[in-house]
Amino acid sequence: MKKISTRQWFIAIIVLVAGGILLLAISGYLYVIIGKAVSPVVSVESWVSSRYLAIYDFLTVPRDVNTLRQQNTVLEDEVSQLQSQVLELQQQQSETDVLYALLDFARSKPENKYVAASVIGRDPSPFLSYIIIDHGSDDGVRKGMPVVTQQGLVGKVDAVTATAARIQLVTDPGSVVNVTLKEGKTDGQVAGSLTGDLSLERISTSVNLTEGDLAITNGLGGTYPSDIVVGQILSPTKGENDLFQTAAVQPVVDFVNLKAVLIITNFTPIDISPLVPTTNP
Amino acid sequence: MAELLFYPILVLLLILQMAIVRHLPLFNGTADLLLLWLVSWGLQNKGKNVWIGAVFVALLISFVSAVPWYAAFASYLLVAVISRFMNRHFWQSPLIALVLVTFICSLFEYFIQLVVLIFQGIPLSMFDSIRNVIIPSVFLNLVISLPIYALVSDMARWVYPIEGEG
Repeated sequence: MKKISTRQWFIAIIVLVAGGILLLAISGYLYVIIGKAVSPVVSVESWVSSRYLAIYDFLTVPRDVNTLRQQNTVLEDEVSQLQSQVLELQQQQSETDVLYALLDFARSKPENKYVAASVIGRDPSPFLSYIIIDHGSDDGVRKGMPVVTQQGLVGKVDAVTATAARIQLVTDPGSVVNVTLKEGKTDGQVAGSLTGDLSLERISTSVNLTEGDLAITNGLGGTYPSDIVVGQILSPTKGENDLFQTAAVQPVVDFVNLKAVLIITNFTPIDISPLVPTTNP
Repeated sequence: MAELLFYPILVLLLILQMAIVRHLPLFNGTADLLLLWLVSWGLQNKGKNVWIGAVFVALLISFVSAVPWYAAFASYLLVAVISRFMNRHFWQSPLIALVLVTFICSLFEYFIQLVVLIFQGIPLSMFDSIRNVIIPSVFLNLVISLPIYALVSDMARWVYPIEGEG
């Protein structure tokens, strides 16, 4: 029988030990030992790695900053462009909403012909309530034509140039509109004021004014067509010895945020001033 | 010739007045940028041509406003006269002159407008006009007069030496 050499015993022991360790490792008995053995290596590895990355960053940061700055500039540019686009679209949306509302109103009264115009300014004098619009005689706008929005009466054309016109608002202190109260079935006048408030005047004290009643144009005087809403009665005031009672009127049109208006171009105002009697001294 | 630069600025101020300033009232009063520019111009030592500017502004206002043209001419020519007068008498203290001229000219402007409109038959209450329009407007004019004066003074330093060299 051939004698087993020392070397062969040695290899066999190594194989057995290795196999045992492998079995222990596979079965999970060596995790704690391996963990403890690997931990210092991982620490050293992470320390070296972090130092390397720090040095790498230090050496490459200037180039990256420049790149980032360039990218940032491009992105900022893009953001500002997008922001301006958003604003432009919002503006267009708001204008479209106003125009759609005006279009709805124009469709609801097909007997009238309209010219739509944007409000571009206001009279410089703080005593007066006039607006300037961007359409004039070139578009068929003439002095005296009534101006409305989808909400109600705005005023009348006071002066015209080829490309612009000045509108006297119903809130102007010099404005007087003949109206009928829808429920009260009585006539009166809505007058403007310095503060932009409207008041209902020339209403007989025998008439019972009700809050919320609508004041609509009655066409008297030939300045405005009939059946356009002017405002809503707010608070009637009746003095004991007064001949007439008055009432505050809430305008239906938002004159502060007025952006677009419709001019009724097929209404010809009638000048009745020659028929108005004058008192001679 | 460089003084001609003031005229397009006056047109720009009118546009700002109609498009923006009239939307920023204090009660019912608003500042008058054109008046303030004329006041600041007239208070410059070399602002002797302010009266041409006043006529130009009056023409502009007559064109766009429903206020009668003679009210605009009276108001702005008075601004030119008062500001030049004050420049001669208060030349060492321009800020006092500025406050005084702004105050006086604003009062004159609004009272002239008020009286003319009342004479035209517009039912304006004197008390309401003073309380809601004139006092707030004068206050706003006094507040805004300082930055406008600074702007006009800076421009005048740039405009008038060029004329001197030419």
